[in-house]
Formats: sequence, C-alpha cells, structure tokens
Amino acid sequence: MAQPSLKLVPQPTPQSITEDEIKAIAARDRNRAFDLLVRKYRDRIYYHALYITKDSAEAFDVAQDVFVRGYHESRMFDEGFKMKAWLFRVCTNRCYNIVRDKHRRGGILDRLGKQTDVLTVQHRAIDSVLAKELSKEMAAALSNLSADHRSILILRYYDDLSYQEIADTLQIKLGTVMSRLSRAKARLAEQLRPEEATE
Amino acid sequence: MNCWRIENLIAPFLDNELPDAEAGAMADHLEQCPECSDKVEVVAALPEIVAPDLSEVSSALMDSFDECLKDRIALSESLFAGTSSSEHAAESMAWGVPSPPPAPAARPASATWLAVAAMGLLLALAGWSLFTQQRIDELEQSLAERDQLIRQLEKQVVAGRFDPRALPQTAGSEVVPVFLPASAPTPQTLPAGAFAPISYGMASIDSPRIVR
Ligand SMILES: [Zn+2]
Repeated sequence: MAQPSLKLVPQPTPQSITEDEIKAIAARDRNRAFDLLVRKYRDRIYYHALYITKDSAEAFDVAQDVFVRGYHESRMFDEGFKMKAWLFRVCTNRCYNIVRDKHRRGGILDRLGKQTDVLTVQHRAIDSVLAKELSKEMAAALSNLSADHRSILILRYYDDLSYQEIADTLQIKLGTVMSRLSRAKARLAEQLRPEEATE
Repeated sequence: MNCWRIENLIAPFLDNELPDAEAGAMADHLEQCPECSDKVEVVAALPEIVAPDLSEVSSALMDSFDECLKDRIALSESLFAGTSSSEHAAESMAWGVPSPPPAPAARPASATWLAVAAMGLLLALAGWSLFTQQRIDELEQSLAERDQLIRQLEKQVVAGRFDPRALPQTAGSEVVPVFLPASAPTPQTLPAGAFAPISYGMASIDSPRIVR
C-alpha cells in the first residue's frame, strides 16, 4: 500500500510554526489559525491515538474527534492556553475511554467497518505494519506495563513531549512526571531482563 | 540525598532533565552507593525507545484528514450546536479553503479515484458514527437515570412505603415523583400486569419495569 509517488507531493504542514504565532493569527482569522493548528499537530495526535488503541480506524476517528472538540474549545487561542497539552490530554482520555468501551461498542463499529471497504484498505495496511512493529521486543514489553506507565513512556519517548508538556498533559506535578517515568523505565527494564528482576 | 529519592530521579538524571545542583548531588550519591548505581545502570542499558515508523504507510490516509475533519466540524455544528447553527456551519465549511490538499498530479489515476471514493465513504462513516455515538451516550445517560429511579421506587414498594399508582404521569423522566412518607398507610397489592417490558426505541429492555 506504500505509494512512492506521494512523496513527490510534500504536505504543506507548517510544523515549525509556534503556538504563539498561531495565537497571533487567531486574533485576525480564527479559522486560519485553526487550520494551522490542525496541520501542526494532526499527525502526532493520530499517532498518539494509534499507539494507545493500536487500531488505525479508531485512531483516525479519535484524532478527528479531538480536533472537532478543539474547534469548539473557546479558550483554544487564549493567551497562556497550552494547545499541545490540551490536544494530547483530550486524545489520551478519549483513547482510554475507547479501549475501555471497545467490548461494548465493538459490535457496531465492526459492522460499520465492513461497509467501508475502500477506506479499510488503508487502515488495514497501517494496522499490519503496526502489528509487526509492536511484536518487536521493546513494544511488547511496553504493552505489559500498567496503563499509567505505558502512557507516560509513550508521551515521552514516542510522542517526544518534554517533561513540562507531560505534566501539563496528564495534569500532574513535574516531580511526579520524574518519579513515574523513573519507575516506568525500571519496570520496563525488568520486563526486558526478567532473570535479573527476581531478587 | 537518600536511596528512595534517587530511585525517583533515574529517568530525569539519564535524560539530563535535572537541575545542575540536583544532578551533582545524585552523581555523588551514585559514587558511594552500589545499589543505586546498579539500578541506574540497568535503566541506562535499556535500548532506545523509539516510535514505530508509520509515516510512509499512513501518508495516504493523512491526506484525507483535513477534508474529513472539515465535514465533521460542519456536522457537529449543524447537529448539536444550539444557537445560530447555520451561520457557524457556513463558517466552518469555509475552514481549510485557503489551503486545499496537494494536487493529485503525481498520483496515478486509480489512486485518485480510490482517494475520492475513500473520502466519500469516510465522510459518511464519520457522520454516522458521530451521530450514533452521541445518541448512544444520550440514551445510556437517560437509561442510567431511569434505572436508578426505578431501583429507588422498587425499594420503596418492597418496603411497603410507596404505592406505585401514586406515580405522576411523567414518571421516570423529568419530574421526580413525590415519595409517600414512611408513615403512609400500607398500599394495596399491585394491579395485574404492573410489571411489563418497556421499549426505549433504541434497544428493547426486557427486564421488569414498573408501569402504571
Ligand atoms: Zn543509594
């Protein structure tokens, strides 16, 4: 499903634009600012959802939903509002609701999924690459951790958020970010070297 | 700095996220404490944690993201916004117009057709699932409220403190029925057929419910 020709058409994704620049634009043109916000973060939000739900169709749906909510978030372009942390927080919460409710709503979504053959080709291609990647040792060890530990490791090392951004996203103190990350990594090391964790 | 504190600082220490003074104190401790330095070494020996690379396989999908979102925002406004929805819908439909998706010139014709078809289906799916989900949430909320009310009522009935025939016409919805005081006279036996299934439209619930 890889289409090399697409690489010839680079996405006009201004990922280097800062949140302050977007806010300045919002003062004149809110829709344009929202457009830039989406282009800046949509891939990362989709990936974040994908890392948690491990399902491309769900992740796409969540990412869409996050930005729909973002569009209706009146404080989005206010001074001091942390857009990135807000997006990651809403995305994280939404994903865990979905993971939790998957059993209950899976029936409807599965039946729906079967009706959209063309789209699911793309989702399935992503899912199969993801499954291959997640079967690797490190990813497999990650998935054995508690949700708290897995979340914070994903935010830090997959999503590349700073310690402060993680604190804002999870609404915890910076010190808690440090201790939780430390314990999560220690657990991860145990998972990868179980013979040394038995003392 | 004690060992417990060290254990909570391993990650920021290795990520160079500690203030200099604290990093220095920690380094001093590690020189004297083999237990802590072992723990740090185990974590330091972890292979790099890197995200699975999906950029290539997901680029086609992300191409349809903005268009899909535009439609979904319009839908969210027209369906659920309370005020001046048409004005907002028009506004949001304009969103994204200044920067349309890349021209499909380099794409083979079949891929373009595929993308168009995918987008159409995606829009339908997005709209339907958004609508369904909101609807399910609403129904679940109202079912939960009803269930709670009914459980209360059943307790009252069992305790002989409430006559179900005293329920107001709108029992179970907005109006909360007035319960009889504990000292009220013992009610008559329930009329036949007092327990019967109720359908809520979305899904039929067959467990017993009190009806008038
Ligand atoms: Zn120590």
